[in-house]
Formats: sequence, C-alpha cells, structure tokens
Amino acid sequence: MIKFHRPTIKINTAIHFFIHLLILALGIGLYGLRFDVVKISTLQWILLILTSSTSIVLTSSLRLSTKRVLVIFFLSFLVEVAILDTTFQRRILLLSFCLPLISFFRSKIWKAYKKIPNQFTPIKLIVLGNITTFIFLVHLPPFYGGIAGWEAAYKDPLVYLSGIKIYNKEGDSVWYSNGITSPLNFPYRLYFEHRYDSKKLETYIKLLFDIYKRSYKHLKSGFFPSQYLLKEFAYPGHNPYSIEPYNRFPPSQVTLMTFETIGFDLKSKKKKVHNIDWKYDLSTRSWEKRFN
Amino acid sequence: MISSLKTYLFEVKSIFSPISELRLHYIRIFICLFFVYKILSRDFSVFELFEKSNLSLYPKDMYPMDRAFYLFTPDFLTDLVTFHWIHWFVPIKNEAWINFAQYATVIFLILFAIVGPGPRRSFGVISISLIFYLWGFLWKNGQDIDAIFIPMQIVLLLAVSHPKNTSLLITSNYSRESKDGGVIIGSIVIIFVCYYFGSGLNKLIDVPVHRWFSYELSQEILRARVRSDLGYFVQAPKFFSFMTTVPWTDSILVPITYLSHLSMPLILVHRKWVVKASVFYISFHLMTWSIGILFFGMILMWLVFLPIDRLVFGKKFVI
Repeated sequence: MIKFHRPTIKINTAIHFFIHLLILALGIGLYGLRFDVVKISTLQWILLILTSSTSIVLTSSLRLSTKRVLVIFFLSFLVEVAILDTTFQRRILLLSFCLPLISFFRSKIWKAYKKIPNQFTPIKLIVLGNITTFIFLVHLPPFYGGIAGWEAAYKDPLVYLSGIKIYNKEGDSVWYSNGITSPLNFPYRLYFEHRYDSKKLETYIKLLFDIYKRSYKHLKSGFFPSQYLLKEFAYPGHNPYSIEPYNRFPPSQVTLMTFETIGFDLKSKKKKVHNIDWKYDLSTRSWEKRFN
Repeated sequence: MISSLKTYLFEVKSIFSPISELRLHYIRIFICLFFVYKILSRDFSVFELFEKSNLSLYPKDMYPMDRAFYLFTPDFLTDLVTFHWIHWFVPIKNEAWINFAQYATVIFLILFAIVGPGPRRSFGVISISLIFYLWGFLWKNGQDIDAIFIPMQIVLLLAVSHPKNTSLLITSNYSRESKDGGVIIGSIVIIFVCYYFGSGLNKLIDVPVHRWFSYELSQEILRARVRSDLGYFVQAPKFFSFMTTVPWTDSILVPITYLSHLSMPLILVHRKWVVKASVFYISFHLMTWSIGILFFGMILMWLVFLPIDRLVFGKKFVI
C-alpha cells in the first residue's frame, strides 16, 4: 500500500516547482513565437500543468522514498505519451515529469558516492551534470546529442540520389562527396539552411569550391583531406564515402556546380526522375534556378 | 532479479568496485590515443575558409522545435564552453592558429597518456579544453553528430578526477587495486547509460510505441545498396545484403534496439552486464553501417571496458 503523507513543501520542491513553471512558460512562449504548425489547445496546456503539478505534489507526499515514485511516473508518462499527438507536446511533458526524478536520482547517486572512500567532488559534478543533461533532454553544450527516433515506411518505388555535382569543361560530372569537407560530416545542412537566400547560397557554393581547390592535392591522388597523414588507415567519416575520379576534375577545369536529385526505379535501376534545383556557372557567376 | 533491482535502485555501488592500476592506465591511454587518432585524421584548418555566415549555424538551428528541445542552448553558451568566445575578439581566418591548436591538442593528449594529469592537472584540462575548441567549429556549423560525446565526457572525467600520482613514469605495481580507478570506470558506465538511455527516451518521444514496428530496415538496406551500385558517394557494404531477403526481421530488430536503449540503466546493476551491452552495441553500430552510417567512434569506445588486466595477469575473464 502506498502511504501518503501530508505534502511537505521543502525549498527543493519549491525550486523544482519554479523551474517547472519556467519551462512551461518558455515552452508556451516559444510555441507562440516560432511554432504555429502544431495546435495545442488551452485545455491541453491546463492538463499538462495540472499533471505536472500533481507529479510534484505526489513526489513530495511520498517523500521521494520509494520506488513507487518511479513506477507512478513511468506509467503516467507512458499513458500521456500515448495520448499526446505531437512530439512537441511529448517533449514538454517529459521535461515536466523528469524534474522531480532528478532529485530522486541525485540522492541515490550521491549516497553511492558517499560510501566510497577517497571520494572527490568533481566526479559527483560530472555524474550529476550528465544525469541532469540526459533527463532534461536539453543537450547542454558542449554535449549535444539525442539522435531522433527513426521510422521509415517506403511506398515510393524510386530510390533517390541527391546532392551537389561538379562538371568539367567536357561536360562530365561527379558527385561532390561529404568526405571533401571533413571534418564536417554534413555539409548539406548548411545548404538546406541557405538555399532560399541567393547571396548566402552563393557564399556557400564559393566555400565548397574553395575547399575543393584546397583539397585537390589529396583528391587527385585518390585520398580525402582527412587521409592526408594516415592514408587508408585514417579514421573514417560518419558515412562511408567512396572516392570519385576527381583527378579528371582539376579546379581549373571545373565550370559548373549543380544540385541534382535523380530518381531510379528500384528494380530496373532505370532513371525515372532528374531534377536540377540550380546550376551555378563558376566562370560567369550566373544562376539557373528552379526555385526562387 | 528482484534483489538486483533493489541493489540498483538503492545502492548503485558494485559498478564502483576497485580495478587494477594497469586497467586505469589502459583507460587513460586508450581514450587519449583515440583522440590522437581522430585528430590526426581530420584537418581543422579548413575552417579558415569559412565566412561568418557559415559559422553561425548552431545545432539548435538545425532542428525544428518539435524534434529537439534546445531551450537551454543559446549561442553564447556554446561559444563560452567551446572557447569560441575568443573569436568575438580575434578573427578565425588564421590557418596557422588552427593548425597550432590541432597539433597542441595531440601533444597534450600524448603527455596526458604518458605522464598522467600533470602539474595541477594541466595536461588533462588543457587537452579537454582544446578538444572542446576544435569541435566547437563543428557545433557552429550545425554538425552535432560525430560519435564524439562519450569520448569527450570520458576525457573530461579523467581530466578532473584521474589520481594525480598515477603515471607511466612512476614505477608501480600494476596489479595493485585502485579505488579511484573503480570510481572512474563506474562513472564511465554511468556516462554510457546516460547517453544510450537518453537516446531511448528520444525514441519514445519521437516515435509512438505502435509505430516502433513500422521501420523498414530491410528496405533501407536495399536502397543503400542500390545507391552504392548506382555510384553514389555514400557507400554501404555488401556484407549486409542478406538482410534484404529477411524483411520479417524488421519488426523484431528495431523494437529490440529501442528497448535496449531504454533498458540501459540495467548495466548499473553489475559490471558483468557491461560485457553483454558491449557485444550488443558493437553489433548494432556495425549494422548501421549497412545503411551508410558508420558510428566508428562508438564501436571503438565500447573497447574502453576491455579487462586488459585480466588478460595480462591471466585471471578469470570478468569485466
């Protein structure tokens, strides 16, 4: 049987409650400012605030002294996750629910460390830092993280190859591999951020071409710049890249850069779709774009 | 099982049991050499080419608000902790400076590996500060995925808590038990738990449980292979092609992975669970290679738990 006590509002609990409201307020504020796709009703917000406040009072009632707290939180979390239909809502909810748990885990870990002779404070801080980071799920820098859940159900019979290509004077083309921009693993993140701003996009293309020119001494020998020292034994990139025949594309011969998406039939491997988002002529600095 | 759970909930203790000094040396040298290897396989001076507009894209800018929740990651905080606040005053466009920072990191890591923390823990602290600085360039390009957080956290842990009197230059009995080493390895286990469990929570939030079974892994592998055959620059190895013939495994392997993330705290019960987790996760990260994603750093990182002392001293193979 769960034995309830009269809630004792300690300073700890009060601080939690304050942070809690702050997060919710920030969440609402951000929702209002940047987030108008997902509609969260007033009733849902009231429910969120009520459930999270109840969780704090419950924690206080049970004096954080039993594993039932964990069970209650976990089960309520599962139920609410099933009810709320957007990731944004679920994330807010998790933040709210996890706040009281920090106290629980902190006391457990703290006690564990206290039992060890020659304990030292920095370790405690590191561990606590980690725990608060992962529980809050806010990814405090410099430790970002949190790979999103993945789900992919394919109905499209086409498979797409997409990215930047460079063309030489003969009209031959080759993919601009992510390996060229190492240590950047995802140069396309910059592209997707800049693609609708011609000036920024031009700066971005110039940057990619400058990197290409800089790296060419390695590329023409069949190595990426990351392999400048350790050659084939170098630490690989985040994606396993293949080296393209860049020796046929010296920077002086490169005339054009494009962003292309090519769709192939999965079975026959025949080309079905070929979209070119933009062409940028490096000599005349002129554009040809599909979108503006 | 119940007693183990009780132990876990109320006495997170056994993971801190002492290890030999040899093992402590191994952990320090392993993690330092990992970073030396990674840094010598990267050319950070490429960032001298970047305009300011290409160095002001922080990880929080890369995700819509419903995918990640970066309430506490204002840009200035990233600049502060990565020491990029220096560039509020000094321009980045300086190849010599970036090269200096890169090779200084390598030197301090080697010193940390051989000498230990050094005077006033300087070798460790300077090493981790320089690592933060170098990877700061990536964070400012919205590149937060590099299989680097666990290694960074371990170096930070060692930098502030490695016993000062343990060094390869000091003759000692390598089989002697080290209580500090026990605390360090226990803390490393906690770092792994936090990382993977956090990832599990993300899965729970991002993908409702009933959709855990809808991910078509075999299709993903097939498409990655077709892209490779068609000459795409991201290559997926042929080794995993057999997976495309067993699509029924999709609804088993994916939920198992999500559940394994969520059950990671169980390895805090006893260190022997770490062995099982390391086998599972090395296999898992190898499998992600089949869809063109290689978490090479994570595969190596699990080897930090290798019981090198047991191998050297010929004792029973126990983590």
